[in-house]
Amino acid sequence: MHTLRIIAAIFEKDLRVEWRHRETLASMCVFGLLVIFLFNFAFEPAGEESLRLLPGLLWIAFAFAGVLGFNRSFASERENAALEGMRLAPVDAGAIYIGKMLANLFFMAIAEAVMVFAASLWYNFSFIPALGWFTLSTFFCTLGYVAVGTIFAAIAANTRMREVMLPVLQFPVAIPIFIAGVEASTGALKGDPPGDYASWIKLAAGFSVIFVVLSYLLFEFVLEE
Amino acid sequence: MVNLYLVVAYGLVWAIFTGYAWTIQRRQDRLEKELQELRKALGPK
Amino acid sequence: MKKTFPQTVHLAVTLAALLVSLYFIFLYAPQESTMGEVQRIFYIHVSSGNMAFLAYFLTFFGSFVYLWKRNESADDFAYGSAEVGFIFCTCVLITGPLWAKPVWGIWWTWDERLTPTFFLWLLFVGYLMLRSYVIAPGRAALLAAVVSTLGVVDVVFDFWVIRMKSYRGQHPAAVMGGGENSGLDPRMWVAVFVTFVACLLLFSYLVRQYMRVAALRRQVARLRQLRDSSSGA
Repeated sequence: MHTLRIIAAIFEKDLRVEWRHRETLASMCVFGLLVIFLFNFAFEPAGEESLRLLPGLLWIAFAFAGVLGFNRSFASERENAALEGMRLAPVDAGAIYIGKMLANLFFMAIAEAVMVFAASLWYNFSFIPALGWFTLSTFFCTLGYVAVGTIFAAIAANTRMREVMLPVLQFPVAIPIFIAGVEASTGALKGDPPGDYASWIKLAAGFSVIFVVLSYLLFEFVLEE
Repeated sequence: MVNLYLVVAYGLVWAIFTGYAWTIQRRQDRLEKELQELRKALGPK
Repeated sequence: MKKTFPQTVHLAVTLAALLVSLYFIFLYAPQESTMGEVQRIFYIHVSSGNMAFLAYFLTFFGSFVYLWKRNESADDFAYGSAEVGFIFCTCVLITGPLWAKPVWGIWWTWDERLTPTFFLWLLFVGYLMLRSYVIAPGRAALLAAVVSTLGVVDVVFDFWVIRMKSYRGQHPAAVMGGGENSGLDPRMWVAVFVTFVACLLLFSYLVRQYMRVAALRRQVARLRQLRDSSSGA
């Protein structure tokens, strides 16, 4: 019970900070939109081709927007020495991780919705027919991505050049998630029978569960002085 | 006939490891020298 | 350890083993019938590949012991084996293309063995970069231990994903698994084994050297502090 309250408190705090400053979400969305927009001029895909490129493009945009958001989520804690405060609080470090992770997941979900909407407009592509399976696969892949992103952002916050350190640490570990995300959403958008790509969703779900639990257990060491 | 690819492959691997072993030996020697100096400086006390 | 097996002896044994492995690679093992001389790259390539994965696992092992016992030399071992493992991994990525070019006609392909090795290389890079960029040096060991634990779990997922992606297999199958179709002459197996043992010795020697450097570094830091505090008083 106590742990749940801490998680809720951290989550609420991050949302409130975001509501007052609107820094993280704005930068994630704008950056993601720029990636999608530039991609259009780089490749000018049309028709069939955009179906082939769209899942990969969306995941590149998600990945970079995510790195931006995760970096912010711990950079702001560092600037005001709030991380030290958290370290001193007599609470389970894992609960802090889960709270931050859920807040990041929330921001990612909004930013992803914005990017998907923009992509569907600019590429004249309708996500509606495949929305259910596309959302399901994207949810699990995003969960896995956020799970590793949050703990690596906390680690990278302790380094010089943390903006570079985060992707260097996170991207190699997140590779299975990228591949699963691209494969599953390609299958969903093509309208394949869900059985064909369900294994990718399972992989993403397994990855998410394992990395959430592992990070929950390891976060104590990240905060430790 | 000696194969160029083969020579390059083994040559590079040996060069890389020799280079690494050399730098680590140098690090060690430098630290050891510094340790000696520090010991000497602290010795009388 | 130091008295029972001095470093100079360790070095001598390692060098001897490396020379012996050269004999086995170039003179003892028979020439492969279709690929010719180039095939001899195989021995160093396979051994370095196994060493690289073993080294990453040992980095995790050292980190795990460090998290558990807070033993500084466990962390030195983890760092050392990451450094040496990174070099082995680099050697795999160098020797692989040098063999692939004459045999397949291409330098690189995203195949089910090449791809995870490349991911492993990236994991090594992340680990080593983190270690040199942490601001408070006292925390580097802890953070790196967390990173290597996450990384070792990720390696398992890498293999799972790559298998599912079902790349067409360019890479010769069953190199370590044996099997009927591997078609290796028994003498080639002997050469593989000898090279691997030589690589293990080389690895242990270099990691040991690294651990000594780390121990010396700590000693120097301690004495420096002592000097500064006594001169300041």
